[in-house]
Amino acid sequence: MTTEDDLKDKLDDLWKKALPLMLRRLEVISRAHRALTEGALTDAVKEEAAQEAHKLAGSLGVFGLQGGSEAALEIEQLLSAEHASDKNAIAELDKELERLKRQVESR
Amino acid sequence: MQRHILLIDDEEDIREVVALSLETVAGWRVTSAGSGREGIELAKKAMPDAVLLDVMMPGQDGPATLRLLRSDETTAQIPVIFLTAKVQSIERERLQGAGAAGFLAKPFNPMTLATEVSQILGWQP
Repeated sequence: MTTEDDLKDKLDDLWKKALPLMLRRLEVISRAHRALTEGALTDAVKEEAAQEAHKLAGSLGVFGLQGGSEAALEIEQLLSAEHASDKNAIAELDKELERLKRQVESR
Repeated sequence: MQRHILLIDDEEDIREVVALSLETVAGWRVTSAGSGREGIELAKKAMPDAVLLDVMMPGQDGPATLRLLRSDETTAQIPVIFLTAKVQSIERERLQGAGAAGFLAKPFNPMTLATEVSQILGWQP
């Protein structure tokens, strides 16, 4: 077995262990998204979701989900922007959240 | 040559991937800390060859941790590399001014992480 294969196997095992944490982070973002579309997003929920998106941006790529990291980074920036409640920003958030979910489910 | 790396990051999954990567690919030894405060204590005791330090951590963040490492004569000379998801130029300049040896972007490639660390620190592969 090559070093690369060995590392890949170990990362696969680690992904299974980390998946519940990734799904919890995704749920925090989804909750903020729901609140945003209902016009009920508080600063605290928005900040928590941006932090979780930041963490996903840093970690999904190391498991080979580069697109997931990119989507999470977009979401972090959208949630951190002053005009996060704008119609365009919400539409962009819809799109990136779907991309993020697809990436996590794909592994 | 076996190196000893101290990793300071509040995210457990990142700590595990970094340790897995550096141990499996390079055969280095990795010690991990989940906070800046814990990391400083470990650095004093273990005297690692280098520290990988997350920038954004709750409480004592990466730059504050680096300042404390630099202010203690036992840890002042240990090279520190920042791990950060934000590597925009303004952020880089601010952090480089704090005395970091370099930066590694998150997400990183686990297969090439040891090579990147070696390149930043001028270590022979």
